[in-house]
Amino acid sequence: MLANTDALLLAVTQLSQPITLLLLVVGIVIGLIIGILPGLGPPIAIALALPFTFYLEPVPSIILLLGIYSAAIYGGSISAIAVGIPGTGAAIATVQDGHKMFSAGRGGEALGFSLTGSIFGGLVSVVCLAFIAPLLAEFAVRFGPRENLAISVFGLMVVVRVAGQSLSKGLLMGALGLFLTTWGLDELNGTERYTFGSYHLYEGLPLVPFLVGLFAMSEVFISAERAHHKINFNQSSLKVQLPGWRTLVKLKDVLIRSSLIGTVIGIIPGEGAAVGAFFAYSEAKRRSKNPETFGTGVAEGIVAPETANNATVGGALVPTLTLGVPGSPAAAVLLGALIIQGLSPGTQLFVEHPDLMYAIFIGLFAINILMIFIGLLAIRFAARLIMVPTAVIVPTVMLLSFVGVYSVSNSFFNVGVMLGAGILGYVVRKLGYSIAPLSIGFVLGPILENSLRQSLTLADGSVQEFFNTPIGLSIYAALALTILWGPVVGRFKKDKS
Amino acid sequence: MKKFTRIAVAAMVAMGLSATAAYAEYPEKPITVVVSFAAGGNADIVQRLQAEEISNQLGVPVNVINKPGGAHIPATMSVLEAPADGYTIFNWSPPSFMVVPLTRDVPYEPLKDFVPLFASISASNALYVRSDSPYTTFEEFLEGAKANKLTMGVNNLGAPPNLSAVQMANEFGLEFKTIALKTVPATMAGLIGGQVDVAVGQVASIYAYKDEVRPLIILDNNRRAFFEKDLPGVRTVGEAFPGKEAGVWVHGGLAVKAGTPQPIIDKLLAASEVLGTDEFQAKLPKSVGYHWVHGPEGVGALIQEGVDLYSPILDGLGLLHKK
Repeated sequence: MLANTDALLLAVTQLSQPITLLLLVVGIVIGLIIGILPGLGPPIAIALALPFTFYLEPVPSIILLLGIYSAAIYGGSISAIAVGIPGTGAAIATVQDGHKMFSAGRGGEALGFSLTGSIFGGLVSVVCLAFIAPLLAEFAVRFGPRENLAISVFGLMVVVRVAGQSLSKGLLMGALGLFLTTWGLDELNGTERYTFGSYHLYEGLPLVPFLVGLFAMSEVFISAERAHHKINFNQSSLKVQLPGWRTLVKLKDVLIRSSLIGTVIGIIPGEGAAVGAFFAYSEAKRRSKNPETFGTGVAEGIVAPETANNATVGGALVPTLTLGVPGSPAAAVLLGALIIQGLSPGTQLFVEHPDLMYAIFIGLFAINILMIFIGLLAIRFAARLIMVPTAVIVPTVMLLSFVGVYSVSNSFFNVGVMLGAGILGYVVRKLGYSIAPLSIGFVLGPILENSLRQSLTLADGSVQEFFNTPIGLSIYAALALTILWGPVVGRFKKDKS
Repeated sequence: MKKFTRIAVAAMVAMGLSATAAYAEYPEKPITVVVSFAAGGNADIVQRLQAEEISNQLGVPVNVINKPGGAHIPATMSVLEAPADGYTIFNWSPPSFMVVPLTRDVPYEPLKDFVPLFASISASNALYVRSDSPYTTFEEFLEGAKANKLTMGVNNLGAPPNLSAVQMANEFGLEFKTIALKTVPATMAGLIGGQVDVAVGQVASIYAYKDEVRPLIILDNNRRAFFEKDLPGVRTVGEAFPGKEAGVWVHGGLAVKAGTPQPIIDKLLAASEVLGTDEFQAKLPKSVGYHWVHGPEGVGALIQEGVDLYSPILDGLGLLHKK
């Protein structure tokens, strides 16, 4: 597939057009800004730019949207670290360690870690996309209901185990998240579940308003209690620094592992950047020699989720381009942009438009490189946010959240959901529970329910048929291993001593 | 008293005239088109292309806004809550004007509360198997489906592809295990990945998966213009099995709130005329089917056809909402 030099040359020519280069920069800047704002995530960022692509050729329009997509996912981490509020769902896992490090006066360093991780993850996933996309598409197509069920169960258990301090509290929150996703119409028989007589709830609680409420609003409420609280910082925390070579070498395992986790999670349709970030975070914590330090502001706790969430971009493009099935909500809007251009994403796209494929690979690579420089500029400002008093940040975040949530679907009902979720998040946090398992339960709930019920239909009453899935079985085996490994090894060690 | 009446009449005439004058000035400000789908889908894309064209005709911006969620009801109601002045227009589609009102208790009646302007975007369904499937013809498939209970992939239960599958099962005496895979492309991917044995996709689904899937039959009674472009040589049920019923109703277009003054409706009808031309249709993505019906009467009849087609099928599934 790399043999087609004509197509490669054509792609390079199209990419080096001045308009394309300009849009590359514009896309990254817009994406960064939207990513930083709570509530406005990659899908809405791409949707906002969609109408402009009507007037553009395929390559510049895709480059614009890919720039927005990558930068928006990265941008979410800036607010997560600097304000303690994830700008996007993808940055939820970054809050814990990122904001702790920032508050501890190491803000510049924390922002440097997230930028490095994001670029690394982005680049690795592009390379995967460019060289083995058709192979990866084979993998993606094997994920049916039974496989999705296994990966969702795995995800939920792993995240619940690592995200909170206590297993029982984590499980309870995960279950609460799952329960809240059962609201809305039953998709199989149309039964109304917890709709309280309102058609606004027919499709359940909307995801973005719920997550923004849970994270941003609850943070706003909690910050409001200590509006006059001053954070101690010295001038050195304002200095943005990228990690040195030695630090990178120390982090190389985390970087590589998180990139691969992010890419794989991205490929699986339905699982987005947030899930990838959580997986990578939990894996980094599990493998760490000092897992108890996670959550106190350690480098791995920032690098792992940030590497993985940007790696989902390349991953999510695999099924989007090769199957026409979006790998993430943002990729779904991107898919629309391709259709506008008269292209039919699916198994034929590579065959019919090799130049476009090359342009996407090279363009995405260039976007990640350019993001280093634009990102450095952005975090220089972000580091200074620590000097802004809480009394200014709280109302600003609140206003931005209102605007962001309203604009997703132009609905005041969604603003209400955000406020409700904010109160829920506040209460939950005040009671000493963690909201991360709650959010992941909420993200995975619909996939879990759908895949479970589809699997049951497929099995048609046969247990054997239900588990007739080699991929699914290996995922269940891995889950058993991660849960039992610690206790078994501990027992073994005890016996020896 | 007589004088007063005369003045009153004169005033009313004057007001009437000035009102007409006001309509004559329509549109004076930007028009909003409400789409009940999220940005990026076929309905949204076509609507944005159409909005641009209407904007050129009327000389004011035509903004498309998306109000997804709530089974399309919030978007529909938001148009009915706005004044009937032609500045808020609704992008109607199979869920908002057909499937949801037939299956749920909704606070609106499509044909009573709206005046449809035109129907444009359309689709038809086709039955697909994997390209390595042993079934090379619909007849072979029928034999196979009678011998074994095959797994059928559709996008959503109650949506047109599912209703096509149900109708086919009823007409030919078949039984399937039905899996809903959420979207048509996901259904096709599920077919390619072996999650299902057979799937109902759209006629245009072929473009993205040409080498991986094989169309067996078009699940429609009559041949329509875009079939030959998408699936050349593939028969429709009506052609291959006269007497067997296979209906598809997938249409979408624009509608204004009932009570909108006739002059405004006339202006919008005139401005949308261009959307039926071959020139405009040439601008659309090739995967978009187009079936042009212009004017409230024609579209009203079209919508009634859909109600007549889908009510008994939905009733058979136990999904029909009985008033």
